[in-house]
Amino acid sequence: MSVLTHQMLLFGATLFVIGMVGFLTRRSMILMFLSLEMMLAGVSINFIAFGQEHKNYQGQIMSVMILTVAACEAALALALIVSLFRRKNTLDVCMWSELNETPTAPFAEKSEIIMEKELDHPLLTPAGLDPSIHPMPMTLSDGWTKEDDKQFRSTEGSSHA
Amino acid sequence: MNPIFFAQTGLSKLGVADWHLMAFICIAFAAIGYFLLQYGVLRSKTWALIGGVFMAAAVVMAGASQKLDFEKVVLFAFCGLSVCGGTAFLVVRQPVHAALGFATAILSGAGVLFMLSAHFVAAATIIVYAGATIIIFLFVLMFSQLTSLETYELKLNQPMLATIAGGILLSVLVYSLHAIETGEVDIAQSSISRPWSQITRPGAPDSTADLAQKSNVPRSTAGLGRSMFTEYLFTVELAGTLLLAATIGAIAVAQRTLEVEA
Amino acid sequence: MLENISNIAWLVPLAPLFGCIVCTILAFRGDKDFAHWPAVLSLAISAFAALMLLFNHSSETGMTVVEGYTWLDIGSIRLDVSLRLDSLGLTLLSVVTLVSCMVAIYSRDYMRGDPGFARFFACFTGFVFCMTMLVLSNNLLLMYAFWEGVGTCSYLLIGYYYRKPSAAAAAIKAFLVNRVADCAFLLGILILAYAVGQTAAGHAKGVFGALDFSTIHAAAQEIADSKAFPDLIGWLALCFLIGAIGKSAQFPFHVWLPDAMEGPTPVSALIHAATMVTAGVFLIARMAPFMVLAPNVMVLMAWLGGITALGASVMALYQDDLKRVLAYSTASQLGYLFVALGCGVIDNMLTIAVMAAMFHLVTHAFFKALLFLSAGNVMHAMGDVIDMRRFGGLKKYLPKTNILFLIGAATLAGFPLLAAFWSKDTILSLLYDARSDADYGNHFTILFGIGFLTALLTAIYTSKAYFKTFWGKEKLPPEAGHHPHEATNVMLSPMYVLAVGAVVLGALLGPTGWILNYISKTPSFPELHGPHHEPIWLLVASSVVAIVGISIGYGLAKASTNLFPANSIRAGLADFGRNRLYIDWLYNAVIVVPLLWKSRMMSGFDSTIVDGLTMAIAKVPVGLGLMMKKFQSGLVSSYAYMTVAGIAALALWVILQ
Repeated sequence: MSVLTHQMLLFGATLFVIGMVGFLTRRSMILMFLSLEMMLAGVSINFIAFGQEHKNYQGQIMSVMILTVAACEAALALALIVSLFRRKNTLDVCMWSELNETPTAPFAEKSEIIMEKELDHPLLTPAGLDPSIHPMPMTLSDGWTKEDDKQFRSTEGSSHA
Repeated sequence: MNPIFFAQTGLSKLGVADWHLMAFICIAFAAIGYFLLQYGVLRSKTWALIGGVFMAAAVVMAGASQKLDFEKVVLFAFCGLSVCGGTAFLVVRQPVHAALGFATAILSGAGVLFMLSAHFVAAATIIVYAGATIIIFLFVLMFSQLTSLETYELKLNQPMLATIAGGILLSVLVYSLHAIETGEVDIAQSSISRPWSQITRPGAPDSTADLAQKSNVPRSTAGLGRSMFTEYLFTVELAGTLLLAATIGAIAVAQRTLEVEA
Repeated sequence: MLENISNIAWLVPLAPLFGCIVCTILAFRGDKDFAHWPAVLSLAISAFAALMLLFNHSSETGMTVVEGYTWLDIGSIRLDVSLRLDSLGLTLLSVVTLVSCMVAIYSRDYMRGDPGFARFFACFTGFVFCMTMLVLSNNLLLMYAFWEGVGTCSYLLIGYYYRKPSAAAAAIKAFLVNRVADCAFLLGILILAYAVGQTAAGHAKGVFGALDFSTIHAAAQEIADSKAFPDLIGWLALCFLIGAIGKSAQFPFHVWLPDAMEGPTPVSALIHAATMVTAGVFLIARMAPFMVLAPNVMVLMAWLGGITALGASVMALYQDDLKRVLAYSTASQLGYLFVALGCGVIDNMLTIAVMAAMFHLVTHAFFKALLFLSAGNVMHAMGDVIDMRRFGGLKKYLPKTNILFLIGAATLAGFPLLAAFWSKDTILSLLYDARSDADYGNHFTILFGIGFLTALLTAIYTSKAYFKTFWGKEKLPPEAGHHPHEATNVMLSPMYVLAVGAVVLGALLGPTGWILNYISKTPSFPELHGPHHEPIWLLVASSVVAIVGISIGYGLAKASTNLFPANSIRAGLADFGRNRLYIDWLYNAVIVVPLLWKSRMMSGFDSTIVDGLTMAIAKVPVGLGLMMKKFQSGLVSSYAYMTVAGIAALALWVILQ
């Protein structure tokens, strides 16, 4: 492996890890998306370096493919971000954690919930509960009623505003 | 145990891959973590820039261990600029500034590609990312209230843990490069690096080895084009189809939300 | 002609089965108002077919086997569903179908308005199906299957008012007591299957497959003569005896029958007086040529019957509940039947013993059903009150029921020339004859005395119940309302039929010798040796006993409780009788309570140790899941962290491999 290839691999790895740290720390969905793009750029540089090493075009072809995928991703991700933003009027990724079973207290402290709109879409049933016995429009989860939710939102929202 | 000591000793001895470099990178990430932790409390872009320059210097020094010519200097300058932009992207608070940092990193990366004689890819990167970045700028301006920053833009999500994770991953990557280079690990013997054809059919000719022997492939955009539209035509068509599907998907997703809104 | 007639034999069980299916569908659909139609019609068809078979069979001799289909054919085990038409079975079959048809007509108005109307008739017809199949089956194993079938229907009908705790408890009690006895019966069948397979007669038909009655009777002597297992036949006979006395509520299994009166009164009339409880007698009669080879068991049976006859009549004397009086009376009369069957142990008396038992069985079915239905009328008028202390002088309000009850009671008391007079005297004269036997004469001398004493007690408690209910001072419970009403004509008309049967059947069958001739045609029963005579003085004596008993009963009814001063011997006896001779108490203390304690201990073991262990094991994945739950925060970044960790681990693995 030539010295240049080695250095370029290091450079690509650095770029990749910077993008990764950005993805892990950022809470704005757009910036998270940009971090992803940076990771892809790092990978792309890796491919180019290997293509130079082997003296063929495969790396560059792969790079072009990555560019294509990045473009597709940009289109879809931005469409998704727009639709998500219209739901909750925020770009905070912490607001989208419905896969979590219960809205636990630490999380609730961490993100001040800003929700002007009523949550009118169906919620997921908490795992292990029979939907017919626990109708979801009434309960967000065990012991967490819609009234609680409203109260919670009103206090949190007012303190933020 | 200050980083300067490592830098100085590293400069004299720095091989292509050395454990000093790993230590250096770890310390650089510790610095980044420090700034990230202070994020939003200390209004210090300067400190953030210092962290970026620190990392960029690490990358440049890694490359500076050999004989320098003009091309190399430009190449490493692009590398450093790119890393610097990436660090700025990490630590600044304003989304617009972060996007600027991102653009710096990507455009410098395109410069690196250019210096690596991948002219077509470099140009394509500039076009795609420049276009994408402009669009993203528009989105950022559209969504974020420029009067005040939102909570989610001020507060980060577990910066310490993220820095540690990134540092560990980068250390692992660098160590693997180091280990392969010094011969500690023979990657050719590792079953995971063998081609699939050799694993399924032992004794079959290694296609990558064959390709490597076909050296002196002309480094030109023309060659790449020929290769793309002869050897990899199917791949290119597939990429085109993917783009079409993504276009339709994006329109569908956006339109459905509009209906919900209505 | 015979061929054609035999073919309608299938109609007898299948018509009630069809009625049962229709009623079940109606019960599930909720159309309840006309559920009695399929039941009554199917039972009428069944009764008609049974009577056709009865009368046409009497002109022939021997038996007919109507082949059905093969139920099981596994290796050497072959079980055919086929019907055996012989004199013994057809006699009981006619009684069962006729009485059940009458009771079904009666139930139409008695059960009207009940929410479980269709359910009642579904169980009712299901019972008749099982009972007819039990009587007709040509195979002991098939008989056992339907033996359990009638037990199940009995359980369902006792627990008919399942919301009433006493009814539910009574149903479980009946079921469990029968289960103990049926265990012995099943054990007997299984051992017998093996034993028959070892004999020359049974071996031709396969090791286990030869459980049809002809083969059993043919193989019986060989089993009895077996050198290897000389006691085997005794044990087998004991097993069958236990099964029979369980179903027929004889001591020590008699405890379930009085409690079974929690069911609707028509059920008590049909199942727990006329038909199902006679299945035990029928089993012994069917197996008589087999049983008789175990003389000790036969004597034991006679003694158990005698004890039950006397003990139950004592208990009946002190009951205040009209239906319980009749229930103990049923147990007592069934005791008579077993005593009669026991006489078969004496040489040449088997056929006449079976005849006497069947004769009394037939008359008993009629007059006891009549009595129960009359009691049902009383209950109907009194608003479900059946305690004799709470009403009296009902003859003004229920004139027709009064007459009908009087007929039934007089018959039961053995009033001269009525049915039970003849049938009971047949049994007593049989005992009188048995007294002179060299081997077992002593036993039967005592049993003869017990028989007379029981007859006296029967007359006393019957007349006491009658006079307390219908005579004396008028007294009405508040549940009855101001003007108690007589039963409807639909309820009364089947009772007239039963009353006619109770009056004339004895004279028609007994002195003319019809039933004796008829029963003696049953194959594999020994030939009759000479005519059977009843001494005239016996008839006179039993008439005197009946009339004396009725007079004493009248006196007791008038005197009521004042007759028993406190702390006297008679008061102690009354206490003894009211508490059912403390037998139920004894069972409770010896069997039920220790079992309850044991099951509580087992339950404690189960809930603490077994469940605790299981729950401890179950807590491991729960704890692991709770640990993993922290990672499942729903945040995108947390999943990204896991991805990063995975990538780092994978890279390390590749490098360090």
